[in-house]
Amino acid sequence: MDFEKKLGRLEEIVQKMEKGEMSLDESLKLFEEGVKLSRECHSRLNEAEAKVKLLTKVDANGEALTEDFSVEDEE
Amino acid sequence: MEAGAPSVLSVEQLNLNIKKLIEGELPLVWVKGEISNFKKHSSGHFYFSLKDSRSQISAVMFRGHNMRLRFLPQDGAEVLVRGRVSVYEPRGNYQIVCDMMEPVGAGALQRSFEQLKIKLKTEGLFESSRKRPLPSFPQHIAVVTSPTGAAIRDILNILKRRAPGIRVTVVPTIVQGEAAAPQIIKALEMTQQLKDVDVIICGRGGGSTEDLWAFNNEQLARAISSSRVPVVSAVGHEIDFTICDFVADLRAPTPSAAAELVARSTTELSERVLALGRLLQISLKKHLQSLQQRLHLSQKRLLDPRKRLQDLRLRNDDLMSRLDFAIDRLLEKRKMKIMNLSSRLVHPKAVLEKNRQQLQILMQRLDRRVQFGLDSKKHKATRLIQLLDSLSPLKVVDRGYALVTHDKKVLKDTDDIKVGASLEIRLAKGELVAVVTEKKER
Repeated sequence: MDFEKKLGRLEEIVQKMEKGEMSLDESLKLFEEGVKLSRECHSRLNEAEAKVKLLTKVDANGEALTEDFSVEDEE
Repeated sequence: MEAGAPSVLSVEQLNLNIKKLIEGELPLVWVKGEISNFKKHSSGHFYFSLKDSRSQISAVMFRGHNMRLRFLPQDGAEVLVRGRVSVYEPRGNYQIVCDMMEPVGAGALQRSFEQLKIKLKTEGLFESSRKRPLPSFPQHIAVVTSPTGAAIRDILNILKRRAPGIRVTVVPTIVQGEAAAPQIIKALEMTQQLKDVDVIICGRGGGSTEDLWAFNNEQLARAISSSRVPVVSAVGHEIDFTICDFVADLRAPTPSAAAELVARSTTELSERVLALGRLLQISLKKHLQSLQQRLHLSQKRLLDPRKRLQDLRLRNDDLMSRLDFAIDRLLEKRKMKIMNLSSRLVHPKAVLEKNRQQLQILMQRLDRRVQFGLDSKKHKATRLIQLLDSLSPLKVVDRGYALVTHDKKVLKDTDDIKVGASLEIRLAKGELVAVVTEKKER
């Protein structure tokens, strides 16, 4: 599930829990799922490493050939 | 002068005729000329003259139209205008009312721009319904631009700041000149083949109209239009509009703006995730609390009967012991009373005996009294009798005394009798009658 979907599901879970019309089992299950999602989203967000690549070629199989990219210094 | 009355017009009528003629006959015209006497009125309208080497004409361009100009006309500028000739009959002069103006030279370019714009618009390529929304949380961004230059530098800086974790793939191309458009198209095609690209930024930094011209290319516009991934067009500065801008899913006024539009700040997102986490915890806690409360209430009610029973038992015990105590006390009191009374209770026989005794005593006393009384009376009587007896004159007489009486009155005093009176003298035996012969002095 991509980040967007995970965040969306987390919001959904929180809404459901706030409404509160469910059994104890359900709310515990949802809570668990929510915690898992929140952790995953959080760790994804905390990846601070900016990954910038330069596309040099796309081969026949649709695979991208890239190399690292860094901005040249301005003169 | 001809014979016959010529029809005489008023000045106004003449001018109106002229107006009708000119305005009716002359269509929209394009005129090339040089600007002179240019004045921008406070109302915003442009008033100027268009002239060539031999002739000139008054011109006006109203605010509504001149607003759209991307340059300010100046005296001496060679321009191409489109307009209608209009007669102002109060003054009897005419001018060309311009609705379009462009610098000559730029003219041809501008026209082709306009034409392409109309063409693609008619095809519906600018429709807002065609424009796809950008993904809220793109993970992989492709940037089609020059690998050198301010644009890519700005974009990467902003992306790094706002969303450090985002993957960026730079797809290099030249961005101006004749060969630019085909290269940009090829770059776009390559980008399409990348899997998992969420959004494409396509653009370049600021420059002149000519510099930016590649982004007005029809094939490029169509390529952007048919991209399977949303495209953000970011060409030049805020005021620059290219065909690509119209056809893209979103126009960013500058490359920097594109980066900001594309990547929501990670901090924002982080906070959102944290907030959601907190809300999650809070609502679970609330849920648990409310369940606990219900349980507690039920428990309480459940406990109540037993507790009540206990309470009642205690009360019962308490009452019973108090009752016992009270009864004991009461019994004790009664016992005491009974004992008391019974101790005071005398057997009737005893009472009888007592009474009899008493009676006896009383009777004895009575007897004694009576006796005493009688005795005493007897005594008294006896004494009295004795006294009487002793007092009896007869007794006195017995002792030798004589009772002397005079007229039956006892004589005690000599004074009471005269000499010669007769006296009776009673002797113990017998009586005498005597006469007083003398009184003796005592």
